[in-house]
Amino acid sequence: MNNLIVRNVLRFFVLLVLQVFVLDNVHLGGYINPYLYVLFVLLLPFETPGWLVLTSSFLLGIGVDIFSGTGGIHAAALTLMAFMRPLTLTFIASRREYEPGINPTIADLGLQWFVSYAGFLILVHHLSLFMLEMFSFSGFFDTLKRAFLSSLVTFTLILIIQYLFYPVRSSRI
Amino acid sequence: MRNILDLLWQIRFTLLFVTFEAIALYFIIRHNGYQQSIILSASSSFTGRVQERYDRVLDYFSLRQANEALVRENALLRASLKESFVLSSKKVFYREDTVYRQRFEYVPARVIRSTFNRRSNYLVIDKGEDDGIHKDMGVITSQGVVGIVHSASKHYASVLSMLHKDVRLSGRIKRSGYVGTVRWEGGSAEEAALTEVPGHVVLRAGDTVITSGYSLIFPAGQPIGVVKRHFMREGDHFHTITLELLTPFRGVDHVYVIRDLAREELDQLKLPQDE
Repeated sequence: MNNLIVRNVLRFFVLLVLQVFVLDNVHLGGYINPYLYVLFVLLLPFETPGWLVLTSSFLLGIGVDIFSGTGGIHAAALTLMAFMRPLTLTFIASRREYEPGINPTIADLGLQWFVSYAGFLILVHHLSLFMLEMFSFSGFFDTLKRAFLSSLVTFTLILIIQYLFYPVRSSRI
Repeated sequence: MRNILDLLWQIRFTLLFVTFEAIALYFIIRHNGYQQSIILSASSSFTGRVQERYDRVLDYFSLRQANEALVRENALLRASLKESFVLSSKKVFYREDTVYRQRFEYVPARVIRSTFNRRSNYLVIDKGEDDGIHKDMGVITSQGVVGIVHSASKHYASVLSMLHKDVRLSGRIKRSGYVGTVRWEGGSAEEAALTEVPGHVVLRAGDTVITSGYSLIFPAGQPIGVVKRHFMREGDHFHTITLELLTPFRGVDHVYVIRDLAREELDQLKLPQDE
């Protein structure tokens, strides 16, 4: 249990630093940016209380905002994503129960489950993020295009990380 | 009463969510509201210091480019030394700056933070009010125009990049002298649009566009970009022009902030409507 808390706190800070100092400087094709820090919310254990999911997401978002000077758009988008998480979980069919000890990873719940879970939540986050950034509906389709492309890049990165850190065969934890 | 409390308890997750969103929205609106502290955080001392240290590490990676840019600039300055000129009576009339009072001063600064992948981009520089930097001063590099100071704290200042949806510059086509408006339309950090150039003006790809000097922010003649593509829509009276920006926004490091010594005097003139 303690181990689990330490892991998540560590993940919080590692993702914050990685996002602010490394990934914010990655610009594919001019303006496509990966936002890997959403992985923190995706990987929070199922038994995390609701208020803690919301609070930690809000804090991580504010952290990214402070360092990139973007007001509160990351906080708003990430909190929305955290809010959608329980709803998403009830709508996605899973071959196993969401019980303590089971992690929201490919290793535990399979690729198909993870693709719909992560894919949907990343889209929610990126769409709201890019719209908040524009703060208007002008250039709507351009914003939409950016959001989809960035989501794709973020999602690919997350998949790679999943296979690197949570090998499917050997079950860690 | 009991029921109300029960209800509130039942929707506590949603309530907390709404509260957080409200706080975030407040931050966004205050940020977009163009109050003094737009990059509050970056200008405030803690994150400023962290950024600066991080930037100092990154500097080593771009030493080569920085050196090259400096060498190029040295060469240019050397070329404009008195020794490099042959005395020619014709020249003197054009060298207004030596004949008249000095009007512009340049404050060198380093960029410690910059973005160019958003629709509204900013830079943070390591000079602030203590160095005489104030709102609405122009920022350039030796290659071209960078942006306009948006707000300054004691030691830092945030700069609206030219790559910002609200920035408009008055640009003059050097060869023909016609003036239009330069603005960035999103997308690539290397391109911008020049509008309001009447259709009868003859254009060539490669024409240089410079600042017109009509605004009080930039002195005339600062390079902005070169004409890359141009065409005229059917029935339109104006050219549609794409510029290639001369400032390498992806690697801006050393910049100059322009201090207009005539600013106060010009401001007191109470121009009817100025930008």
